[in-house]
Amino acid sequence: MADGKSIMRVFKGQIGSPGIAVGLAYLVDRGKLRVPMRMVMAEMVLLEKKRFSDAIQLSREQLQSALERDLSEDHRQILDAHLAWTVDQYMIDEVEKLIENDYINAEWATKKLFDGLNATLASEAKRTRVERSQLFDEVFHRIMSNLMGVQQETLDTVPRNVILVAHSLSPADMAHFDRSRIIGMATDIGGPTSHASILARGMELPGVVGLEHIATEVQTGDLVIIDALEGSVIVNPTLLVVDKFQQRLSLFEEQETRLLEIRDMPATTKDGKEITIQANMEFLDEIEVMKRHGVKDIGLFRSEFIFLLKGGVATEEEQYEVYSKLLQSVGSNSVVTIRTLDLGSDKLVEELNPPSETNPAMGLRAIRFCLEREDIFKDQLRALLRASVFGKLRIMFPMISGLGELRKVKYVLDEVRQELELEGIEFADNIDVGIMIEVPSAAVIADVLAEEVDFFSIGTNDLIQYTLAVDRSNEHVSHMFKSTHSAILRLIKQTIEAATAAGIDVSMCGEMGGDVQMTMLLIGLGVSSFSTNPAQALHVKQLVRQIDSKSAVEFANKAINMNVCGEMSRFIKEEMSERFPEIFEKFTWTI
Amino acid sequence: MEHFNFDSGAISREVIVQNRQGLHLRPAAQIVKAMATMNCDIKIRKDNKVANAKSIMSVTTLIATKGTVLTIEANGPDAALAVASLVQLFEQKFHED
Repeated sequence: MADGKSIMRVFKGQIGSPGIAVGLAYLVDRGKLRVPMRMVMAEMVLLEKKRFSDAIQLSREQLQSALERDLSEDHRQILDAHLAWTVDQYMIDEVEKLIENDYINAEWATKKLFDGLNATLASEAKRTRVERSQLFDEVFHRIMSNLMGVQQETLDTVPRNVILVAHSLSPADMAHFDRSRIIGMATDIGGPTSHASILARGMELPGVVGLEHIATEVQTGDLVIIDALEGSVIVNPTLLVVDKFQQRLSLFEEQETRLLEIRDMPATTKDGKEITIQANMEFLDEIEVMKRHGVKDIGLFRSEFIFLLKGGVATEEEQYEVYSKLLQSVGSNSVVTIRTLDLGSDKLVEELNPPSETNPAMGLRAIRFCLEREDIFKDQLRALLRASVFGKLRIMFPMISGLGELRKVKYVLDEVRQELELEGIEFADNIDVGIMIEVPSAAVIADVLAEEVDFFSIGTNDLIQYTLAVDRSNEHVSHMFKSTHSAILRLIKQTIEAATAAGIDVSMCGEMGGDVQMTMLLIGLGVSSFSTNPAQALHVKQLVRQIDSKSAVEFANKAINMNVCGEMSRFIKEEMSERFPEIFEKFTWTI
Repeated sequence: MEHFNFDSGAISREVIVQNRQGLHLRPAAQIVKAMATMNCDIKIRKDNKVANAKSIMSVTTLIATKGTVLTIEANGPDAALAVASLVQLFEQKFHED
């Protein structure tokens, strides 16, 4: 195996927190503990009980010390729940009884108890079962490690400049993190919404999660590259690859520094046209990142993440709390655009018994789902309206495909308004209501829809998928998913013209809005507002400040008439690197 | 469905799980926290299963979804107070809905 270890391998996962890191791995062994199970003699029973209570005491102290740190509210609640176990006399009694009656050591007794707990979950619905068994595992692991005297590294003593590699990192691990010593993280389990990812984003720690087997394949001291822009991890890279990434990394850092210089400058084109750049976000902790990148407004808040994060239907109160926090933390001068639930059968929470659909993209999702489940929809609208008193809220409906549907949705919103009025609950009276333009039919009748809303936001990912009939996750056709198809540009152009004629706002969210290759083209098509990932905002701004809007129009007119995608892509690429050499030379790799 | 047994100071009372999520982690933590300082025995019964309301482990493993009927049983000096506060938690849907 020694030979195999030195071969470069690439692991694919998901981006937990964006960035790049090159460094040595530090394996945090939270793998399966080999539990020693043995019978004990009667005279040893007391000693085993003492060992167990010592382990519980130690666990309690560890958790209390983690809780003393500066933690987010979520983080605190999870640790509090862990702490409750260590003071659970009933649990302690059960283990002691097992030691006494079965003459077994403390480890075995603990294992027996937790195996029993897991067995009681067998009949439970999957979601809650997963949630509970994860909690049991975390509690079990802590007590067991303390029993066995396995040093639970608190992660504040790890060597400097390491990349943490682990099966999983618990919220307690993350609390002990000394951010200045750690440059990246990679875990077997987890997704973008798991706790480790959220906490890593808040710390701006590059991380790739969901790698499945990374913790068993990597050893402490292995050279590792975290490519959390692509969502992969390279283990034992060749020198050539290391070189390339080190260059990427220093360019990345250099660029970040340079970008921060324009942080507080306006996003105005060379010839004085004002462009708005807003942020797309999913989590409250991204507000800090947004502010660091000089962004003031939120152009798209994906509210379904409240549900996905919870793993169930969020209540009106829970949503109200998130929305009000959101509005309060950006300040009253900032616009906050919240998109109502965009859930489909592919990402519905289990509790809602998602129907099995052969074609979820075209099935019961987003606004269609909300109109079907008016109870859930109304809860969301109530939460939104109630929170609206804290700032400038805009409500946006996803996947609108026609006028009748739009009117239905606005009718429900009016009903909710009236309900609140009757209940004497306050809400803002100047809330803008807008829609996503992401279904081709909506783009085609944009002029009609523009008469009845306050703003449009063009969602390019779905617009491309539906217009070109391409499923991007299907490897056989994904190469056909192109933003440079002239049909897409025509729909965008038409939508912008309709909005301009009606005098309403229109912005670009979706990946195309943050793709700097497309910035000039979009400005040429008339786009004056972009909504991007917070980290991408300054890249767009940097470019905007170098663009002349009149030549952008000429450029767009040329491009839109190129009817072969390949031809248009080549044209854009060549023109962009010729016009803005110092941006695109260094940029090519992030696209 | 309330009956008092004055001899032993025992009280029992039926409640229905009303919050959508059922008795998951957060409600369990709320129950245990509220019951910790009560000077009485307090149990939650679901069919043949009985949970000690002062134990997070015990309450967490009493799997009760929305609509489940539970019986709260308390015995001791604080029994009345304990039952009342527990019933209130259930009725307020654990501040969830």
